[in-house]
Amino acid sequence: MSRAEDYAEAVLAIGRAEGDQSRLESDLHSFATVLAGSAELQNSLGDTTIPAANRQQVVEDVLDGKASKASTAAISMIVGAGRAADIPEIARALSSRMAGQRGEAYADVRSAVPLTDDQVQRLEAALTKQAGRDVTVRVTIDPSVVGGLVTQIDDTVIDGSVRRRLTQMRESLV
Amino acid sequence: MMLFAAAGADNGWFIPADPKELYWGAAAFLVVVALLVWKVLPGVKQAMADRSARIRDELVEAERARVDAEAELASLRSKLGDSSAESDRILDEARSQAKTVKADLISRADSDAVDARERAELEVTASKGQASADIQAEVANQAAAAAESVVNSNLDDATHTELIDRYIEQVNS
Repeated sequence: MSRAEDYAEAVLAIGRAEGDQSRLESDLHSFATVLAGSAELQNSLGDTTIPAANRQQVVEDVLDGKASKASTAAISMIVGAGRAADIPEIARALSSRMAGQRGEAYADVRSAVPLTDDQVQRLEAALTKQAGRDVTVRVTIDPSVVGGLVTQIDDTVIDGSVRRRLTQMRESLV
Repeated sequence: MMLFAAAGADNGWFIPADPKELYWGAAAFLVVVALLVWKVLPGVKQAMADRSARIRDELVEAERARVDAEAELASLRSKLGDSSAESDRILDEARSQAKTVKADLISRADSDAVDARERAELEVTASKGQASADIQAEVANQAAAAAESVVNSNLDDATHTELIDRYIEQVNS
């Protein structure tokens, strides 16, 4: 079990205790998205020379009124432990575990732009057909994808991104 | 003595005028001669004999020294001959060693020169290859960056939607 999975298990235990795992999962992904889009926030929360209490105060300020108390406590715990950079991976591990509990597969989808609800539903249907079981899709905005999508289900990656095509073009030139 | 005695003779001759003086003089002379023969001559003879014996001994000693010196000379000549042969042998050995060392040095220098040339050729080849690879990589990077720039500038919402829809269709098929 990786360190991210350990933290995901801890967050899941908090969610079980609070009785609202879905909110916790949703808040963790939202925070991961905010973190990915802000280099300043990454630097502040990832700098372990800053006292943990100060970093946790930043988390509380950012999530004030936007996340549940349990979510804020869980994220604050992760940041206080100096694992802010692992939050996206922890969020994925948490979703994967929760999907596993429901007997579903979890698909981590990265896209340069947000997907419409229709696109998410069609993608879930397509992935369910391919995986042979229900699939929960969680979309993460990642500008490095450039265009198209990258989907990871367990250890399988389906890369249909413009980034991959640019990389292939570059490799063919070299 | 007779002459001194005669010098004062009245007749001016050496023979004294008085015959008695001649007799006494002759007798005294004979006495002196007898004394010399009796007392002095044996001593003289002994001294001569001693001197002869000493000279003989010295000659024998000198002969022995000469023989020893000749033996020593022969020994030295022999040693000189031996040392000369030894020095010749050492010189020959030194020349032989010098020749071997020279040949080794030349051989090593030739080998080093060949190695250095081969290394230089390899380095030149590697440098050419590296430079070519660097240029190729740089060209690829520039081309990829240019392509990404073009793609980014042409990726509008419609294109994003089309790319995502096509992806979903491919997963579904």
